[in-house]
Amino acid sequence: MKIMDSKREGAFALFLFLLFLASPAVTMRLNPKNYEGGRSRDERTRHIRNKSAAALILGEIRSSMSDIMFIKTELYLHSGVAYKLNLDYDALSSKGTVVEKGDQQDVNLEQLLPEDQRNHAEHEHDHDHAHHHADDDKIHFHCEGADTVIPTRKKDFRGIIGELHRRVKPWQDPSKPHLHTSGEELLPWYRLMTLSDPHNIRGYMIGAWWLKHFKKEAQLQEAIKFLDEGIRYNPDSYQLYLMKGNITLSLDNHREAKALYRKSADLAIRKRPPDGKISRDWTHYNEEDALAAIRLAVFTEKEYGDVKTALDIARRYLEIINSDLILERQIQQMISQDQ
Amino acid sequence: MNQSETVIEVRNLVVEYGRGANTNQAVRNISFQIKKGESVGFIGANGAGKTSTIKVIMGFLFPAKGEALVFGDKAGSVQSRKRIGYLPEVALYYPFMKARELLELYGGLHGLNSRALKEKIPPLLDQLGLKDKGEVLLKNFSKGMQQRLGIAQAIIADPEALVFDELSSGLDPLGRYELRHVLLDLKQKGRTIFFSSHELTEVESLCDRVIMIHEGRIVTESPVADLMKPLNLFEIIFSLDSASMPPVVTKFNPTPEGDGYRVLIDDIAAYSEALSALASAGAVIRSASSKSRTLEEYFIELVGEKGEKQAV
Amino acid sequence: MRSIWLISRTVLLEAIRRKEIYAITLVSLLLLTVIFSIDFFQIEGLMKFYREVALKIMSMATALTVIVLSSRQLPREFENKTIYPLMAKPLRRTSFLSGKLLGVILAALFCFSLFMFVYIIGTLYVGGGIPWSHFLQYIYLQLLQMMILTTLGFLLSLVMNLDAAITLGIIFYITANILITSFTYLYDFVGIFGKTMLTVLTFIIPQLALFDFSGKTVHSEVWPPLDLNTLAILTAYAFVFSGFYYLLCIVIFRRRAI
Repeated sequence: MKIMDSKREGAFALFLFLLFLASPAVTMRLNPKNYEGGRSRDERTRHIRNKSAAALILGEIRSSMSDIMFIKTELYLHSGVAYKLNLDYDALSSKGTVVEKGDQQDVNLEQLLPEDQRNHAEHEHDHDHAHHHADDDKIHFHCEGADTVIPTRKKDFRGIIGELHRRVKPWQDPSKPHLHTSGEELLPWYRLMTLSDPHNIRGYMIGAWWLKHFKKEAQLQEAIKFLDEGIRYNPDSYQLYLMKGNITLSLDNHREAKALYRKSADLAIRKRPPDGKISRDWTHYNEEDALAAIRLAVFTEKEYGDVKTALDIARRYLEIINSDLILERQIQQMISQDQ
Repeated sequence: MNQSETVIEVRNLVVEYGRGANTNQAVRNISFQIKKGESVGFIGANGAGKTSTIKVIMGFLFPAKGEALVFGDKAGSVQSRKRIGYLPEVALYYPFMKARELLELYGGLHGLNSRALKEKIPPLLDQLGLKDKGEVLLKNFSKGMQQRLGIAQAIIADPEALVFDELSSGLDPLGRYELRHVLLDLKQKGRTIFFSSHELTEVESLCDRVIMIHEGRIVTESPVADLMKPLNLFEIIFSLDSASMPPVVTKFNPTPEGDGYRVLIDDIAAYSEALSALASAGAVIRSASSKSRTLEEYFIELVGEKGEKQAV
Repeated sequence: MRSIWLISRTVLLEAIRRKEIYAITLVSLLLLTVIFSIDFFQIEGLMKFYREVALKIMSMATALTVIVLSSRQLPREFENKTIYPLMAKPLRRTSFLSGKLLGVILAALFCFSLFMFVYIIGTLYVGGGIPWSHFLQYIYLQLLQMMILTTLGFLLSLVMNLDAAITLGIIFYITANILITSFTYLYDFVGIFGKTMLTVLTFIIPQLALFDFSGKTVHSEVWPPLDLNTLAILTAYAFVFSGFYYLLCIVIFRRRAI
């Protein structure tokens, strides 16, 4: 009788184990089109990975680890305080309803250029952290929409537990201005998160962005190496070419920067949906970066190449993206210069 | 009887395992007493209820009915355990400890201070054949050495009473011999000894009294001397015409053996008488010898009889 | 008191003489070496990152050691029958359990000492200082957490088998850190019954995250150490839970046949 019981238990355990192994495949079978595994939006990678349940599970683990490390960088940036802001921003950015409040800071296109060449006032967004970071390493930011993961006393139902939680963990009232720390200590996390998930394009992008802020030759070269690695794993990522273009420009390598922006813009145009409609697959980040690549491709061609060529490509890009005030202004400037 | 003279008292003890329909009675309403200075053997087959009874005496098991008292205190009370030394049937000792450390632990729990322990441990180890083993880790001890150490831990605080479950389990002949000497020494010092065992030699040499238990019930409780009597058996193999067989022999039911007969006699006087009668009748005595039954054989016969009686 | 000390010394001796803790320390050291062998863009003195990784490894390794050590204390005594000669001595069952509890806490302290050694060596290598007041508060709160985990380990091992007790202990340790945050998220999305349940659960489940002071220790240049008042409340909180588990252990263990 006992043997029967243990056999039955063993069979049940085996069944559960097989079910666990098969679960991703079953899920995909039930609703394959809606299945979104991992971070990668790359069709080819997704296709290869989705063929194997084991690869899928391991891939999920790797990308989840990478995501956890990404969150870690947010924590480090705020001296350990966990804010909800970025999670909401991420969610909203794919719905096309994002309204940035607070200290959103546009980065001047000219800031990319060496100081003596800053003549033109074109505006462009830098990426991600640049939305609310200035070049100054430590600066106070006031974000109206920001909320901490640990709620304020008013919003917390937990009484003394909540109070202790706020005291033990790094926490500050989200309504008060908060301090951003230097990006230096964030960098190991970008290194590790991209090792864990080489398709974490944001990891490569922001890591390189922070390296650029060292304004030192060695770190800029490191940034280039880092982005080259990212490009090797994600050859279709126009964002990585865009960032590499920015850093190359900082190194005064204008010719290469120009080529990189062109490559980025071409890749972006290929990926961009008609009229740049924001969706899960084409977020605000994607749209902003695509437009930045196009504008910078035109801008650098004009500055370090041939104005006529710049005008040509600007017109070609405008034809594809339909409308963009900055690009239109660039075209008008070039026409007036030409005249 | 004065209460102070009774070291262990078991009254109407019932021990049960399991619950509801699966309840199994291991000990069925037994009672006995062990008096001060007595040495009592507790004998029974495996599963007879020996260990269960001892566990109740030590306070490891709680009786379903009845009770056990040790020095008049409830069995298992701290007070009762202060005056008793115990050796379990099977016990491994912490393999990561040294023999000295283990004895320090057990002695310390008995309230001995470190000075007393330092004085006591070396001669004790010596006495049990573990000289120079004090600093050896117990993981390197053989089963026999562990058993010797078990005895050492039981007697380290010089307790008034000793309860041993399966006395010489795991000991080699030399170990048994040494142990017997240790226990005889303790007996001579007036310590009360209560132990379960399968070994007849131990029972013979150490016990004043034997309690036999079978299927949770006590089947015999008597002094060793009385118990040993029916264990003597004599065998005569002889050739003689059946018609000439003397009545003193025929009453022991001789059985044919080759071209003669074989008779078993369980009384030494009757044995002498039978030998004389056979010689007078002109029988050829081929062999005459004394045959002792083992305690086990005796025990098996005894419980067999009990079983038959119960069946009737 | 002496018997409690004698029992605890046995547990500590086991922790010191067995190889597990050294193996865990070595693996942790190896892990740290591997992590720091990665080229982090030629940037030196990454103190926060080092602190974060070292403290995380330290707390996780110690917690796992404590869960395993506490869960196996009682089952091992039964399995190897070492409990018989021990309980045959004039030793109260409460003293036995208290000794075991103290022993596991001492073993956790030993474990922390080893890691602290590794941590200090690492700090010398990486460069930068040790925020001592934060670090000692971190260790103290971790010890309080270990006390809760130990009593819980004892309790689980008394009501289920060893494997189940270890597994549940680990699950509890991992999820307890997640629960505290998820409850605050969930609270806004559930009805009145759910809200009541979450409130009750918040108070009946020991919030282990409250004993993780690593956040402020890592970013110690921004955050001051905890005030005595908070430390006292946290100590009382830990004692309430471990005391409750310990009482349950005593109730069960006193009634248990050996």
